[in-house]
Amino acid sequence: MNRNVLPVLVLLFALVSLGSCTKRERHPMASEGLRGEAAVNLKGFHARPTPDGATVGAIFGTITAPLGDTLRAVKVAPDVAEKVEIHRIVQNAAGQMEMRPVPWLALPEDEPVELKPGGLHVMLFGLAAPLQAGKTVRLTLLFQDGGERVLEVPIRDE
Amino acid sequence: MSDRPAARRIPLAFACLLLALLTASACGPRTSGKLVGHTRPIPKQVGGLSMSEARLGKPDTTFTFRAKRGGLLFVFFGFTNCPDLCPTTLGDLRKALRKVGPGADKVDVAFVTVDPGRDSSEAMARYLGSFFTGGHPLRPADNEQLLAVQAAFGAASSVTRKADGDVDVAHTALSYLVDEHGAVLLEWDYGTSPADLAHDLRLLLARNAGGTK
Ligand SMILES: [Cu+2]
Repeated sequence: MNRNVLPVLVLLFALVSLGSCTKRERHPMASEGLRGEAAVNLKGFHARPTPDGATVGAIFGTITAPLGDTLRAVKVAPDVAEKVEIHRIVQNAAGQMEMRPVPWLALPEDEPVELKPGGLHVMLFGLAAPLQAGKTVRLTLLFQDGGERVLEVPIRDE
Repeated sequence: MSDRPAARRIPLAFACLLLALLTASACGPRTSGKLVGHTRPIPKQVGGLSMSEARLGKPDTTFTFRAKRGGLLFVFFGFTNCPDLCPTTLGDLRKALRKVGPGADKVDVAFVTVDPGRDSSEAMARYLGSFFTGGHPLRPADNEQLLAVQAAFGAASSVTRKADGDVDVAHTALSYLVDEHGAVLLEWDYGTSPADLAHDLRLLLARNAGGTK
């Protein structure tokens, strides 16, 4: 390896870190948490409006951990849903699609992990009220390094 | 490797041209007469089957798996407590029908619950009603009826009630297009884009109108 590469790498890293800091959505709730804010970038988070009569909902979005991390848990207020889990849709041995809970979601270093239809989603069970377009849901993401992030997820049709 | 530069340049240029052509064709709207969905040499026949159709505030009626004359019937098997596959598929079809435009009124939509234990007639009618007006929410009378209809389409599902009270539902997620005689013309994989759905719908509606089948 060329010795000239090192300063460039350092500069690049500094720029990337700076970029991730400025891009991070800040929320008043975040400072109330004891754990501190996780160093992850959250992009495009949204919940889908739920059809009439539906008792479940899904949140999608992209998480990037510049230094790698693990998403341990997701939370919403009890007046939104009874239970929240991270789910992955998989094809079972019979060739049928089903959802499986993902207890820990690995976030490889600087690799965007997409929660999108047909793959991963944040699953809301037992919705207290239908998710209506134009409103928001407050979602808390808890990470392995002890950090957490709170965000207001807009409800919209993609 | 580097001793024959001229010989390598020509295939590279050719590859670039090919790539450019492929990219151009992939990006442009599909204009080909080839269907995106899967067809079978001998179409499955479902026109002899029927199921109870839920209606809000009215008694259930009987629905037979056939399209209107000159039309098409879209069929999907799912359940209302389905956060992703079912609303994605129904939402994408809604987008596709908007793209199709005036001919879209010839397309009927049937949504069959694979979880009739939890999906009441009312729940089915309300759920489908939030995607389409005039859709057909279908609820099997018993497991035998569900199995018979699924077998005819080649669909399958299983509902498992777990010890903690949670219910796991697994289901095939293909969509089907049926003609007025009850023949399954087309099967779409889950995740087929609204543009591709619209392309196939237009093509099959044009075929129906032209009487070329
Ligand atoms: Cu789920």
